[in-house]
Amino acid sequence: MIRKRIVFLVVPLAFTLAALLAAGPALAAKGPIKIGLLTSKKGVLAKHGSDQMNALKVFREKFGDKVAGRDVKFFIEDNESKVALAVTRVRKMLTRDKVHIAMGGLFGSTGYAIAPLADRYKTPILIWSCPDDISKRKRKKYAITYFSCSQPMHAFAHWVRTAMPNIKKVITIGPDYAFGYESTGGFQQVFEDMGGKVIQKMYMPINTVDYGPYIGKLRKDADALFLTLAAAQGLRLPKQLKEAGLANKYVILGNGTNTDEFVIDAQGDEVLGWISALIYSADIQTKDNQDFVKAFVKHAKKDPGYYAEGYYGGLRLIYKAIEVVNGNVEDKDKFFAALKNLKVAKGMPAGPRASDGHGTFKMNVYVRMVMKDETGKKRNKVLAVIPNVSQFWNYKPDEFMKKPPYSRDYPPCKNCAK
Amino acid sequence: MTFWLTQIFNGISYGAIVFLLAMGLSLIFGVMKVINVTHGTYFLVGAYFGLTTLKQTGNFFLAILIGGIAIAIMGIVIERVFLRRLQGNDLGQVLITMGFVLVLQDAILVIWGPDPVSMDAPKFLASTGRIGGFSFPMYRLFLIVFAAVTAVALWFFESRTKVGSSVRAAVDDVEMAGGMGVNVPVVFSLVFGLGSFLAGMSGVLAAPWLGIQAGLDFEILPFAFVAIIVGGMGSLKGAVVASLLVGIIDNLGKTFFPEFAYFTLFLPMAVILAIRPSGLFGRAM
Amino acid sequence: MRGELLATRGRVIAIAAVLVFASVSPLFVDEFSVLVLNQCLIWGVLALSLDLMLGYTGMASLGHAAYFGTGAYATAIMSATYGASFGEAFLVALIAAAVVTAICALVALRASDVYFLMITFALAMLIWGLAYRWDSMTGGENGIAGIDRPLIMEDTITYYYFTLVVAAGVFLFFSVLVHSCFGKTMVGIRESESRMRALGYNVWLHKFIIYMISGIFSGLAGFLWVYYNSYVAPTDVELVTSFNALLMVSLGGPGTLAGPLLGSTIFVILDNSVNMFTERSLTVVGCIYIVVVLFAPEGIMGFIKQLRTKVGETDNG
Repeated sequence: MIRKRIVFLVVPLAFTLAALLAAGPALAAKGPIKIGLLTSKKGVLAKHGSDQMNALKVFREKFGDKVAGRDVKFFIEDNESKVALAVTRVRKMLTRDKVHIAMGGLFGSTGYAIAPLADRYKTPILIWSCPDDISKRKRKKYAITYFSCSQPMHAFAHWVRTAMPNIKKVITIGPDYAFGYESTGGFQQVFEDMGGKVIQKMYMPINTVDYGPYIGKLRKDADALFLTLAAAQGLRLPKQLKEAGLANKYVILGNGTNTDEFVIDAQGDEVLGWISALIYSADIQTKDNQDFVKAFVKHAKKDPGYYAEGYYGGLRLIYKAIEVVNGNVEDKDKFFAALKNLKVAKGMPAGPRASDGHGTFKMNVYVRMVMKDETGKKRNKVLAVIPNVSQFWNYKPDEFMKKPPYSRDYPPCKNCAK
Repeated sequence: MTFWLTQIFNGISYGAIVFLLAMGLSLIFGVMKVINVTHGTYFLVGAYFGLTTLKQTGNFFLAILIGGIAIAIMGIVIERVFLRRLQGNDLGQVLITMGFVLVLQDAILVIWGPDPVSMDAPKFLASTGRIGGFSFPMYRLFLIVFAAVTAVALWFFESRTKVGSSVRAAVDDVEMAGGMGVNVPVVFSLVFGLGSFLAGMSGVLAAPWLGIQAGLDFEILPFAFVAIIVGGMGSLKGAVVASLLVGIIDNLGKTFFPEFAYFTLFLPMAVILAIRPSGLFGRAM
Repeated sequence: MRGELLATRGRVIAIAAVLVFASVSPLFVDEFSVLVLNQCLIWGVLALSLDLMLGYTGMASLGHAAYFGTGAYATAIMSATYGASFGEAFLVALIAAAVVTAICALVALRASDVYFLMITFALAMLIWGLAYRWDSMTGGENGIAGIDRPLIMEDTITYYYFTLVVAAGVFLFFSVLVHSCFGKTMVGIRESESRMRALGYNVWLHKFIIYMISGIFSGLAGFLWVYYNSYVAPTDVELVTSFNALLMVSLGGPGTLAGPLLGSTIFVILDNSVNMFTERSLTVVGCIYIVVVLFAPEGIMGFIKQLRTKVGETDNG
């Protein structure tokens, strides 16, 4: 009979075990500097995550696990390509690992989901994905972004209007979530301000399998398509455009993620001639970048894309900020202020960065075209560099922020009706 | 006119892939009453096997065959070793297929890595066909023909061969079939093997069109489930009709109500479920 | 007779021990541990609700993420979009869960056995489709972020205690329920529907009521989850969530009240720790599914029961 009672004790025992397992080591007075890194090792973004992890290897090889005289320890968490899980994982970094700073986020929406945690736990987060509003209308006290999704697209639209004046009417296609709205919105805003017309806008679920219905609806009177493709879309839409016989019907413009190096080797020749813009291309001819590419290829056996450079660059910014505060990351306000006001001229593969005072950085935007090099490999050849681009482009920040954020319905499509 | 033709043609071709996937699911459910959640992952793993074959031999049709056979073997092993022990335990069977989903997804990461990959169809299928003002991708036409031939072959197998009639008997009533001298364990293996073969094969067939990437399994699986729920489990006719419906409704739904993609597909399913839980062509429960 | 009394006493002691532990331990561990324990409780409520159907009544639902998700989304929409208070969101979440459950139950209860599994699965897919595509309401792929708890519950520990009280209430309610006449009827339906029907019970109505209770409490778990995570997305409603809930119940032991809690505790801890030890967390979880189904169909509690019977036998012999 006593044994029965023992049996019932199994449950509390399990709980105790749970707590023991969960109970963490006490925080040492001044141990290493702890950096939390969020990535995705499984699911639709597994490849992006593996590029990031290789970039981390390159970074550690070059800069080591030591900065400003203190050791650095990395805490890597995998959110399995799920935004909701990112919240849980980042919260773990902040409460258990007690990281001094966290970086990460692959979907634009991840940024919006994790940003509030920065303020809640008063720990800086460098949000790696590019949620527009975190550096604009929904500023956080302790979160900044690596860049803003619409930022390269403003510049790109300007470039298109200037360099390709024959492109007047454009159809936009993008994934149906924050990243798609912000990329499309940024392009449309400047493109239309400069006299161009967006005549059709389409947003589609990111996990769309068959694009047939959308392709069948494309208006024939457009000069170009502006595409924003995320995850597997970059693999499917180009193929399906080609098989519909439309690959040469329109000039294809778009976000650099369309043909980013994470997917370009898997894409067919149908993407040749596609023009896109982003904050990086493996083809940038500076020494900083060529060194980075060489080191990256050694680990990954392929070129780095913006997912790789972004991780490397983000870590570089974090190290710089640590140097500015002489390793005293425990003073979070000072540390974050240093990060927020950073100006890095050298050593970044994608070129200089300078704080814009609004929660993100000014940087170069690269206009690239997919071409084959002499070995027959597809590359994002740089056509133009637009230097020092602000997230507000040439608009006045205050006026810009008075307008609604880019969304499914904004900017409205004035020229969509036939 | 061309617009409608294009949309319907696209719908049918998508329905063709859905049919090949759904037919296996439907057979497995019809005979063994197993909700095989692994089916989408079979599709994906089949595509990877096909890819490896294509890289080694350069023969696309061999790739389709190998993709199918590899998955058939895998399916039969899973059925023999695991599912058979759980006969009659509906929930256990579903849960274990979920376990295999996770294990296989991880195996893909280990064996083939996280890279998205594409696969090229033979040159003659990669062109664009044209009839009058109506242009269509050859590959989609190929898919439709392939699925149609498969459907006819399955129909022949089911209605004209002795093995097929045992399968049909098992769909109707497993116990009765056993009593009538049908070797039920063999039929189970056969059905599971055939269903898995269809899944693996359709994965390879879809690869030149959809690409191969982690996550594809759960992107395509819902369509197959909708098809078998609407069509009725275990019914070949039901799978054909419902897959075409799924393809066309999905196409027209996305065309006219892009905001409600999925919903335009799931709503008819819910209505059919409410009115006729066994599906359009399924036997009443 | 004496044995039963002792067993009851043992049960009470065990429950008291868990309660004491659950209320005292947060004071001694770090914040993350409290967060993990909080997760255990929330998923525990979901698993308990599911077990009411699965374990006690023999209705295996493959779509409980739908009711959980309805509660979660209703809360998020009320709180983030309409600025509703905690209490208002609570009410709306439960009502929404009740309405959705009622509709689903009406459809699903027309079938039984594996067809019931299939229909609940299909209905959950529909709800997922709504969460994923009803953009203006649910935010689609973006999900809904920025759901803040009321100030008094802002910090982790207070919210943990709130959840603990709710979970304890649910546990208490369920244990009264399963030990009542109604509970006996549930088990009767599980064992033989036709016999219950012959005895003059309205089996359909019983099943409907149980379905409703289960759905509403799953919605409650969704409500708790949203205020815990301050974010909701379609992945919360997807198939995997339904499966995980089933795994928790099966792992702990269906048809018991301690089982689901135990199962959810183990699952949550694994989920939060396994990737610290291995990159192959998918395989680990996959193998747990396989092993539980093959070797522990009655879960850990069933295993314990078996052990106890054996010990009892040697005692008598």
